[in-house]
Amino acid sequence: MSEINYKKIGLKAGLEIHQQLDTQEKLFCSCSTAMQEKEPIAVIMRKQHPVASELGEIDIAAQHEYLRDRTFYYQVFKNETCLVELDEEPPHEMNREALNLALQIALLLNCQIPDEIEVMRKTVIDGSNPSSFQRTMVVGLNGFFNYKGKKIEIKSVSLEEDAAAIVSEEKGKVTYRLNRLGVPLVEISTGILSNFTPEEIEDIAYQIGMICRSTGKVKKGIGAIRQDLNVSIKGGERSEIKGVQELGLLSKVIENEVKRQLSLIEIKAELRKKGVKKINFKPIEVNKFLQDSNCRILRAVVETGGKVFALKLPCFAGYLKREIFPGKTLGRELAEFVQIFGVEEIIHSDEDLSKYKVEADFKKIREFLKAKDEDAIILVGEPKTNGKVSEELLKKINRILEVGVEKETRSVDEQGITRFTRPLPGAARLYPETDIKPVLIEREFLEKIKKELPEPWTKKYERFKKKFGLSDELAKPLLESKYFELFEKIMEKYKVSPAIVANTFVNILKDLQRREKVDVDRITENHFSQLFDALAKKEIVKEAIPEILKYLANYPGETVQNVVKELNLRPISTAELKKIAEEVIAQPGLTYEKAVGIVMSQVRGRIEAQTVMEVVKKLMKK
Amino acid sequence: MYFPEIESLLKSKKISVGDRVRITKGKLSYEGLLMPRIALGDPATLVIKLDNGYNIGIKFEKGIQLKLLKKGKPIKFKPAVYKPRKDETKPTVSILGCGGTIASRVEYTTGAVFPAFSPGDLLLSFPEIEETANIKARKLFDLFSEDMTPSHWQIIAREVEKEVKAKTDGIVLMHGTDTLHYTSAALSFMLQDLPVPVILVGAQRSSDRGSSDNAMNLICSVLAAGKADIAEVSVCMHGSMSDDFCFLHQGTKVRKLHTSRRDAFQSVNALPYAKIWYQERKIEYLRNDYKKRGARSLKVDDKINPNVALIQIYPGIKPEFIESLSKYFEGVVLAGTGLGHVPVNPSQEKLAISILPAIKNLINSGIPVVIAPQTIFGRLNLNVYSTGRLLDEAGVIGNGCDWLPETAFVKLAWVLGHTKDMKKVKEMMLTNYAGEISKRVER
Repeated sequence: MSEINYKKIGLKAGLEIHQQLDTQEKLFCSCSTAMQEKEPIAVIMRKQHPVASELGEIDIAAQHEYLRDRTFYYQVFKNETCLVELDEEPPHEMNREALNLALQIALLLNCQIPDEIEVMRKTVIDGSNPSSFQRTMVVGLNGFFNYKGKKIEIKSVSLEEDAAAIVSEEKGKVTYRLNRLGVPLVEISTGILSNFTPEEIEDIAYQIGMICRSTGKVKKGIGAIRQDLNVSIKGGERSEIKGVQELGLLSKVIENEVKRQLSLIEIKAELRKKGVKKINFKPIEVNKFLQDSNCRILRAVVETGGKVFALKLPCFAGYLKREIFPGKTLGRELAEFVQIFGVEEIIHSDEDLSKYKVEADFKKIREFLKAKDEDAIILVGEPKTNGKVSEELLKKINRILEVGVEKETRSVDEQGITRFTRPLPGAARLYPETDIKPVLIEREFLEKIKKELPEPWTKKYERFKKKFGLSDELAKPLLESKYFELFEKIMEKYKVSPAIVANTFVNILKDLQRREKVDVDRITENHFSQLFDALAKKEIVKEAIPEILKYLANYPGETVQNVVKELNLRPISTAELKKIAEEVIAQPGLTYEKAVGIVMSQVRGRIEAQTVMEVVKKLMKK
Repeated sequence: MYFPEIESLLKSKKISVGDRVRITKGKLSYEGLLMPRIALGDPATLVIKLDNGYNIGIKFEKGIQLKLLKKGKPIKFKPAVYKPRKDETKPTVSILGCGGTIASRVEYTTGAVFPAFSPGDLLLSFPEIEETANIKARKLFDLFSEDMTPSHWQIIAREVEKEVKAKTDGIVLMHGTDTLHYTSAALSFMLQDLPVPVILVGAQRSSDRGSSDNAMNLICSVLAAGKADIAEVSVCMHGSMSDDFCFLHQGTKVRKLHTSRRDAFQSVNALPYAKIWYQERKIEYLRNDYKKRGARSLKVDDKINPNVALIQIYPGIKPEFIESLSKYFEGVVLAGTGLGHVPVNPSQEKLAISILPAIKNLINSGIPVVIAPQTIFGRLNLNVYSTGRLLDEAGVIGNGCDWLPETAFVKLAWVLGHTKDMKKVKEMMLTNYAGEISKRVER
């Protein structure tokens, strides 16, 4: 696809940013928010049951459908889970540290603060909260911030409990870990962002994240900040994409969703041109053609008393294998739709039929259905649902023909590929949390918070860069990492080059982690202090840093001094270097690069690389 | 309720809860539906529901402006229609509501919870109960169980009698959890020769939430009431923190032992009658010493004298306090320490006191004194220490018993409904009517 003109296609987006707060305790109990425990100490099993509202039967039938065959398993962690998370004890008083942080963020975003904060219960039936609701409250409304001269509308800022994190799901058994449940979360919702490109929208999300970081008390790392987005284009529909964990994927996700919507609109238009407006051909049971099938999947359905249904889609040949966005064909999209009804797979005529060994079966079925070459066939294996799923699939295809794109909720994976998610029955309900007293925000209290607002991150960033003379490549990631406070401490204490320290935190640690799988979290603040103290005193050279850190990560009980001795990293003088270099270049036939290489291998970590290169060069000139 | 000033302003502008309003304070204005003021909030703050569903509070101050934008539609509950079914292959279970929000309908806009007692409402919320039985349901009264009195136990007993006469196969009593074990003990004494199970059930977690223990507890109770062989008064509640099984506890040997956990109810000095496995809908019997279902004539003996005190013994308790009990009570249960002790100060230590003379005075004036363990678990034994021996000699009733303080309290009230004769009172108290005294305890 050629470059998309996002303005022309009327791209509209809405962001909902969820940022975890780094408080001592959880929002409604005194558990730790560290989320460090690895092994659960217990697992509790629960079922959930529909609740009748004023709507009566309609509403409850839908919930029943969803909950009846689902069992939830909740993992309990020492210090990080208590009876409150297990819904075995009413919530405790609201964590004031969290409330103050949320108010700070709301004020940094120029919101109006209500006079009284009312805590609400938001119903949740996917099991991610054992209480079957999430506690949430609005702390700021009608805010804004400036982005490239435009005003970005902030509709609301809310404070809420984070949900339990899913551990696994299989055949109606869902396991959650409860340590994340109850961690305070600030949710920031923007207004509709129009006339921005996907990159700009990603940048806006980044800015909001950094405003939160100004408080100095937000969690960092994977999962600490999650983005939900709404995306729509002219002629399309609003789709809600939940759970983008990596900010860097946001623009890609938006681009893909735009492509998906454009593709569906295009497909609808093309098929219309071919005269296909609605498919009336009902799904037909075709078990009799599959008795001798070589396809394991289909035969299994037939042999266990299930039914295989065939859909004939006129003029659809080739459309099912069309990519609606990179990484997803229309056929795959339909297969994922059908999965929410519990059917595992569909097989369609655009696929490589030999892979499933169904060429013969398809031939027979095509004849039976009197399908033309331009028609596509989809086979749906229904072990228990007797044609209901095929009906739903046909309805879905007809909806594509009718409207192209429809409103839906999608989830996203680590590569930024979205998929249709199960639609939760009914809109989420919000009703008062009667176990928690509403909180009056007294004027004096609000004034005090306003006075103590932290430095906005943009100012902090500029000040940081100027003070330490750091480039953007070092300053930006440093400010975003969890090491920047430590960086400031180190710079206060030791006379070392800011660039070297920054580079250590930003690049060296990342390399050790990625390339050598070193567990850098085991390196303590103390270790870093010793390290830079040694550097300042010239007891080591900067080249020794990676090796020392790697050793400390593996043996965290050691001191830097011991490691230097153990690994023989005492710096050598230029004289000592000369001696070693002279011996090396005495060997005949060495190139400069080779000579440097050999010398380096002998003196690595004990003298600047620059010096080695210079000395060898000088000696070889002679 | 809002402050009277606010209420009258609302009235004058013909604004009621559910109406769409605009509130303006200086430069700020908010639009939303007016919500009721719930008990815990500041009555001088107006609560509105914004379009995004969230509620916020706006302080009522000088200069505030209130405008009615649109009248709200009165929220009506779609009535749950009850289609009576009679499946001849299934037993009939009568469900009587005494309170507790085991079943309710929630009006989500305001968050109001309305208890549901009609068969239609129960079946709307818990259609599963019809899997195991035909249901008859009605409300007796709707009280927090902490507000119940011995008169209510009598009402319940008589209503149970009505159902038994109408040939029901089992009875489920929906009840608040706070004093559920008092009621179960009372009914154990009052309902003699039960032909069918009578099962008390409640919910620890409020029923507005899908995670409430109400569904499982009720479904297990109905299953047990219709199918279990246990023609006794029992309590059916969660057996663990998971939704795996309920216990069917003996009515005189059960107590609420946690403020909030689902498995708050535990059998004390006894095993439960059975485990009711929830998802499997299976009854696993743990004992066989109960009256089995059978053709029997239920006898209701609901005579009771409510003028009984249940007193916790504690260090420094004043003898005058014990003396004063004679003014108001006709029977006293003391929850004694350890093996059943109270301060008697046999060595006449200077700083210590004795309430033994006060106890003797009560007994001599015709007020029976019963001892029970404040440790809850364990058996009383007044033979081991001099304290106990002095109490036993004085005529305190309870040596060798392992009854719960609450059960002893209920029993004394019931016994005093029959006789005031001290000898007869002692005889009846030491007779095992409903398993309240067990001969042996294995754990």
